[in-house]
Amino acid sequence: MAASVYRLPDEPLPSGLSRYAVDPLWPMLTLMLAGNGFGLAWFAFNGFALGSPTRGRELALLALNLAGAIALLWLLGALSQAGWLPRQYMEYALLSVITLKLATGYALYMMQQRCFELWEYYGGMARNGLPLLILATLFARRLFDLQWPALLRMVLE
Amino acid sequence: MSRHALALARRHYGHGQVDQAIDVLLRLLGEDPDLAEAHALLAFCLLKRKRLHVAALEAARALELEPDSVYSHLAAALVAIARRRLSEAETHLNAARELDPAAAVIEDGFARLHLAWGHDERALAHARRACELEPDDLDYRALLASLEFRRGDRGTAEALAREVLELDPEHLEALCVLGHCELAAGRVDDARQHAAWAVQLDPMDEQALTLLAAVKARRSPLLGLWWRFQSYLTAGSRTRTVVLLLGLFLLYQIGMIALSQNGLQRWTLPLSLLWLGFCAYTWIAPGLFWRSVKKELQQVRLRPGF
Repeated sequence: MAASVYRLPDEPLPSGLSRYAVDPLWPMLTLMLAGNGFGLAWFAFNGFALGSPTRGRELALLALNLAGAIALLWLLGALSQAGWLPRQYMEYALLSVITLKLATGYALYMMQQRCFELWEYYGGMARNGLPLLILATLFARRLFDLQWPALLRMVLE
Repeated sequence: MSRHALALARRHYGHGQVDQAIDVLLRLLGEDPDLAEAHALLAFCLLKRKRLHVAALEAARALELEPDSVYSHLAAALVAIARRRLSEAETHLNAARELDPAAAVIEDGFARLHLAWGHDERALAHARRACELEPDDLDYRALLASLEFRRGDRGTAEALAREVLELDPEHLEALCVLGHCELAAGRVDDARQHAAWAVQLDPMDEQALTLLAAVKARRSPLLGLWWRFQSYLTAGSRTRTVVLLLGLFLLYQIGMIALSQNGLQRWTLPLSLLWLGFCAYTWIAPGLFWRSVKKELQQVRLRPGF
């Protein structure tokens, strides 16, 4: 019988999906280049693949990203309609949505990066995420050219 | 068995083989999870690897199992210093001092606490007291050397570091202090050898990497500039890093919007190119930096008869 080994709570948990795990840099770049929706989906999957111990907090951040972006867009729309946000300031105000998306993206990246380093240390072999990043970036442009509800498009783009 | 394993882990830790020490401790704690000393030593190891969250948990577990252990309080204090919870660290150090007023290791802890607070003179006084209490311990002398260097007394710092290295040529902190002294004296090649040797001993040690970076910064202004930028970005918490990076991005975005809204479209292309250049530089420079570090490490050979 193998001797039991003490497990530290920040170590990744074994997962059947671990052969699909990638360096979280790839989901982060996808979020920047192919859009928020693709990046978040990949972050969520990668969290499960890595067996990340902070998976719960990662999913909460993901929800904050989506719900926060919807709330901000709705608020800016309401302010604009009420005439409180002049048209020339709208571009500046929309930067808040980009900031929220990037800030939560960075937070997700940092949470997974710590887990990824440990996962690699314990012998995990990461996949190369570059082909999927290129594919997502090319596909995203075509996808976002289709007819989408404006709010959904702004959240996922 | 546990005594032997603990001694082995301590030896690994003492020689800078932190990962090996962690492996031994995890196996030991798998068999006996109630060994306070093993939890405390594990906290020290995790601290070295910057896994602060679990280091704090391990120190807390050690204290829970043995509330009257100097070693457990010391582990909790050093973890608290690393997390910038300095008052908490002081409480643990005071508790440890009450348990053993003449322990040099507690003076060492106070020296590190005052260093974190920026009270250099008080840190120096505690380091001297630690050396008086245990004159044969090389770690305290190396810390004293580092503090003497910090306050600008390079002669004393170099002499102390050389003393330590004569007795233990692989003492990481002394190697780094000597490297910094040599760099300050303009002996860049000697500094490079010491830096590379320190990195070979522990490739993840912060002091060793800082010295190596300082040497590289002296030799290559371009990579040095990246290193300084990187050091500034990562000097505090991760949140601060993210805020700084996002701030830079937002400034760029605001600049682009302001230029186009004020009819200065011809400046948007140069600004975009500047931003792209900055992104490319911060993307490529780390790779170049670490490649040159690896090359450097391959070149370093100890002088025969050292």
